[in-house]
Order: sequence, then C-alpha cells, then structure tokens
Amino acid sequence: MLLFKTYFKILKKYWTSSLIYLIIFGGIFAVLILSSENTEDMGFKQSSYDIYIENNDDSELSTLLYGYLSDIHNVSSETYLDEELEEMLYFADIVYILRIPEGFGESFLNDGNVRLHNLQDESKMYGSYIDSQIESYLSSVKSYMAAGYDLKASDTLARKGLDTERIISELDKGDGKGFIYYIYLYLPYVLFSMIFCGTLPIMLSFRKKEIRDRMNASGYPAVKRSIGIIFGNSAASFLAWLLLSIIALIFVSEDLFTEIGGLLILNSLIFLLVCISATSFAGSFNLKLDGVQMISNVVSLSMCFLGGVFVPMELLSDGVKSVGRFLPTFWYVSAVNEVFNGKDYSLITKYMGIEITFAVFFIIITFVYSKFSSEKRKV
Amino acid sequence: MIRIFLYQLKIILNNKTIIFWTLLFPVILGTLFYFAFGNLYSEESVLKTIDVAVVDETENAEPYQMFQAAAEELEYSDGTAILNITYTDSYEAEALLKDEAVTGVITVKNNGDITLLVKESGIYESVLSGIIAEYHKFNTMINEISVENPQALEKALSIFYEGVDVNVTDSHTEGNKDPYVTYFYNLIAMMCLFSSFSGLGIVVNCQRNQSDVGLRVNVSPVKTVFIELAGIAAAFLVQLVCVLLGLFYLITILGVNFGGEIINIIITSVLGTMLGVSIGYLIGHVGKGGLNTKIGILTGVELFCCFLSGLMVGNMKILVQKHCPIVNKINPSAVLEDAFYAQNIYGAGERFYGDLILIAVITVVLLIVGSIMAGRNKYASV
Repeated sequence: MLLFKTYFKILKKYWTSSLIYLIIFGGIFAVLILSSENTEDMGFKQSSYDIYIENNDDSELSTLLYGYLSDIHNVSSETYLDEELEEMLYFADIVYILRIPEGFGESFLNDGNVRLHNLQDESKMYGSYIDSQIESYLSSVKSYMAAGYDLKASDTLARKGLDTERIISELDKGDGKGFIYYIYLYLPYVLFSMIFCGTLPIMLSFRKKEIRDRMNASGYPAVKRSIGIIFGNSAASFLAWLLLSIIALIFVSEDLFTEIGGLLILNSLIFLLVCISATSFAGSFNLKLDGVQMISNVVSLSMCFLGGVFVPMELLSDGVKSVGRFLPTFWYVSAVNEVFNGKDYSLITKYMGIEITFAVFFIIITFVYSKFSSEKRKV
Repeated sequence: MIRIFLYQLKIILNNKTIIFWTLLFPVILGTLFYFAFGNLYSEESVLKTIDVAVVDETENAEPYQMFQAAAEELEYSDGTAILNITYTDSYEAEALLKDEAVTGVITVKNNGDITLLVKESGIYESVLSGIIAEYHKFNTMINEISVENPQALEKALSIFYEGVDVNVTDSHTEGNKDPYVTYFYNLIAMMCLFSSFSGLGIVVNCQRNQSDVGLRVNVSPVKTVFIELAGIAAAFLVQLVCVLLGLFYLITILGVNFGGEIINIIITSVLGTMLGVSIGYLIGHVGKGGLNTKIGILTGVELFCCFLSGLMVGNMKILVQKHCPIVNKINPSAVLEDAFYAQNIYGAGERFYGDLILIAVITVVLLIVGSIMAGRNKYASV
C-alpha cells in the first residue's frame, strides 16, 4: 500500500504529458462531430462527389445539365479563382471542374463544335465516371429530341431512363460505422501514449540506483514492493482507459450500450493489457527520462501507421500488412473491423486472443529479462 | 569569432535530444508516411477491373445473351477490361458478395430487366450502376418511343448507338499530382520549424539568468551579441545539414517524388531553416520563462502550425483557406508547404517567389524584433 500511494504521488508530476493526448483525443472528436453531416443509411446511393460547374452558357440545355449533375453530386455554389480551384482539385476537395462554354447548348443540338471542358485528375476513376454520366445524359436527351420530343420532355425521359434506384439494392450489411468506430479505431494511439508517458517515468524513478538501494536496505519486502508497483501501474493505466471511455460515453453514449459497444469496450480492455505489459517491458530497461517521449512517439506512431489505425487496412500494401501482423494494433484494428463488418464471433475471439498473446509475450520477456539482469547484477 | 562558432557547433551537436527531434524523428515519421501513403495514389490511380457475378434467370434467352455479349466487351480507354464476370446461380453469387469476392451481383430477369445487388455504396458499385443504367436507359427508350412515336425509333437508336463526344479534359500541370506528397512537404516544413530549438538553445546559453553556460558567457570579455551571432550561424548550419539529410533520405533513398526542380526545394529548405532558427531566437528573448517552458510552448505552437498546414490531415490547408485564408499567409508552416506545392504544380513562378519573399520577410522581422528584445534584457546585479 505504501508503494501504491507513493506511485500516485509521483504520477502527479507526470500526468500533464498524458493529459495532452487526452485533450487531443477529445478535441479531434469534438471537431469531427461538429463538422459532420447526417450520415443516415439510405440504402445504395450513387457515388456523389464535390464538383464545381462554371456555366458560361445561358441556354436551357446547359441549365438542365447543371440541374441533372446537381441532383447527383454536390455542386459548389461558391465562386473561386482558377488557382484556388486547381488547388482544391489537387487536394481532392473537389474532384471535377466543369466549364460549360458560351454557345454550348445551341451547338450541341446542331453542329456539336462547342464542347464541354473539364479539369480532373485523369488517373482517378471519379473523372471518367462523371464524364460518362454527362455523355450518357446528353446522348439520351439528343436521342429523345431526334424522336420528336421537346427539350423539357427529353430531359424528363433521360432522367427516368438513367434512374436506377428501383433496380439496385444493397445487401443487408448490418450496423453502419458511426463515430463510435472512429473513437475505438484511434483509441490505441492515445491509450498507448498516455500509459507510456504517464507510467514509464514512474517505473524508471523506482529503478534509479539510489532509490533501489534504499528500498533494498529497508524492511519493506521485495514482493510487496513489486506488487505495489504492479498495482500502481495497473490502476493508473485503468484510469487512463476510464477517462477515454468517458470521452466515448460523452460523444456516443447511445452506441456504447449496444452489442457492438460491448465488443469494442472488451477489445479496448484487452488492448489495455497489451499497453500495460509493453510499458512494463520498457520499464525493465535502464532508460533515460528524456528518452520516454521519444520512444513513446516512435513506438506509438509506428504501431498505428503500420497496424492500420491511421490508414485504412485495405489501403495498406501487402508488405506493410505483413509487417503489421507482428504488431498488436493490427489485431486490435482487425477485431474492430470485424465487429462492424461481419460480427463473426470466432474471428473476433481469434483476434482478441492474439492481442492477449502479445500481452502474455511481453510479460514473459519482462520476467525473463528482469531475472537475467538481476542475476547479472549479483555476479 | 571562428573559435566561438566552433564551440557553439559542438554544444549543438552534443545535444542528442535536439538532434533526435530535428533529424531522427522526422526521418522515422517520413518512413512511416512512406509506408502508409507511398502507394496510395498509385493504388487509387489504377483503373481496376471489377469482379462481378452474373446470374441468368432467363435460361439463356435473348436478353441474357445480349447482356453477356455487351458486358464482356466493356473496357476502359486503355483497353483494360471493366468487368471480370463469374457466371453463377443466385445463392452462390450472394455468398461471393458477402465474402467480398465480387463487388456486385447482376441478375438478368425473365422479363429482360436487369437488377444489381451490391454490399455498399462506393465508386466501383457506382460504375456497375452506370453500366446497368445504360441498359435501363436503352430499354426505357425503346418502350417509350415505340409507343409514342414508333417511326422515329430508328433515328433515335442511331443517335443512341453513335453516342456523343462532348468532353474535353484540359491539363493544368505537368507536376506530381499525388496529394499525399504534401505530407512530405509538411514534414520538411516541420523539420525547418524545429530548427527553432537550436535557435532557442543558443539564446538560453547566452542569458545569465537562464543557464550556467549563460553565466560563464556573460563574464567572458567577448560581447554577447557576437556569441549569439556565431551561435545562430552554427545552429543554422547544423539544422540545414539535418534538413538536407532528411531531404536526401526522402528523395534519394525512399524515392519520394517532390515534383518540380531540386534546386527550388533546396532554396525553400534553406530559407525555411533560417526561419526556424529565427523563431527560436525571438522566443528565446521573449519573457522570463525557463528553457523547458519555452520548448514546450514552441513545440505546441509549431505542431499546431503544422496541423493547420496539413501534417496530420492532408486537406486541412484547404479548409483553412476557405474559412480564414489570412492564416495560410502568416502560418510559417503553411507558407513553406505552399512554396513546395507551388514549385511542383506551377514551377518557379510568381507564387513560388512570392512565398520565398514572404519567408524571407518573416525571418528578417523575427530577427530584428529578437535583437531589439535582446537589447532590452536587463538583469539585477548579483
């Protein structure tokens, strides 16, 4: 108990570095939620992109084309300079810039000499997808007009022909990914950083030679000392997890008390064990206090970039995935994805089992290393 | 003066923490960026053949044969097939869709209708829906015109088959269009800004109320201003070497394509490093806070600047540009990133030189303000 209390006295000195990660975590989700749009699942929806249309033609056809594209895509209503538009295109803030030149409407129905100009990233599918939508709509309009329909009726029939809402259905894929997904996806980075930066300095304080010698000279049994530190570590780490869970509760309180929420909480608790054991392993080395932040940043960022936390796993190359398999975050993220995608319990259990194996592995090597180094000291 | 410069150089090089944060950390982060984002653009850029299951409910009747013939001929402009078709029954097709072995299931119905079943909404699903839409459009047209104006059907169909060619795609740059490269621009900008740690260290080492070295420096016969000048030169040299090593690693070893000309990248890095050192120089002279407090403030502010210019979220700069464009003009990280971006997309032109001039002006202002503050520092006699 004595060491347990001392542990928390020292923790007061280092808790600010952990708090920074907590503030970042809370801040990111506050921004995410405030800037979010209603993402209610409405079944299959054609891909809708942010596009920009500069309509320099005052013909009825141009207005109808504008209207058709506006119904599918998000057409920006702001006015931008060319350079701003090009920058937005570069950052994929918009994916298509359409310029309807003057005289297009008239020319299209006659000689076809005036053509539509666009800017797009030609290596992406979005551009050719929108190109084909435009061509499909206009060829349809032209066909109906050739059959004697007026422009307005041709537009209506062309839209009817291209409307596939009734014939496309979406497989029942279960629950959609809400904010709870992102909260539990990014949680490993924050949890690991908080535990590593908060508890490792305390473990290193107890490892200082003069402190260790003083404790060895005291009548306080070694077993009680170890238990005190282990309990202190576990309690502080659990506190970090609890704080993050409270943040999750604030943002997604309804989703948390569901089956998915339960599985995510269980998964995060298992990852907590990995964090505690990994930090204990790091604590068995004689590291310098200055190095804690450095190691924490390198380890946590590496685990998260290679383990699929920051970049969706399906976008990682096979080589990165192969390396990722040796990291606990990879299995944590796999479990989170499975909870949302298939909810296959055998797979979820398998992924959680691998995470526990990582925790056990760290505990064993910590024990072996401590034994080895204490025997080395005796010699 | 040269001797002081060499000693300052030694002091900076002996500070392992600074070398870690200004060289090793960005290199490690760059490596992680490379593994995470390196292939994303090329992966996304590949026109993929879409796996699809086709179910025949017509028992090989005419509509199915027509669809089959048309679907197998579909290809992208480069000749790549759009669809990779698996012909199967509905039960097997749904299983394939659930396992994500196919993107969609197309069913040709007895009455000639075609339906599409997908697992989610996405670009590939939308391409499939576009193919279905063409077929649906064709059927609707025949049904509509053959009832309303049958004699015009042939003319309408000839236009339908002919199609229209209305789109002209213009090109606005010959540079690297990969938006993920901006993460590396921001990384170099961060390295430049982190040069401020060395600049700050120089000032602290010259202030008698901040460090033991400062006390010793102040009792020496050499004027503090010379020591500071030599220190700034040493800090600039060390940090420039760090930034150039970082660039060498990213461009030569990892093969990151920064776009534009290497000379423009180096000029931007040189000015950026000087800007970083001058930020540290100014902060060192502001307030009476200790080294750790000032490093904490610098780290926080600089990382926030990098966040706003897109180090953590790629298109953050655009968001800022839309809502508060002035921030991108005064945020040093955003100006540096913009210089790298401008030389890539537009080459060494008005925008690039404008950014360089802005960096130089900010640097000079910081150094002048720092010098004025240095002159005002007074200490109580001990």
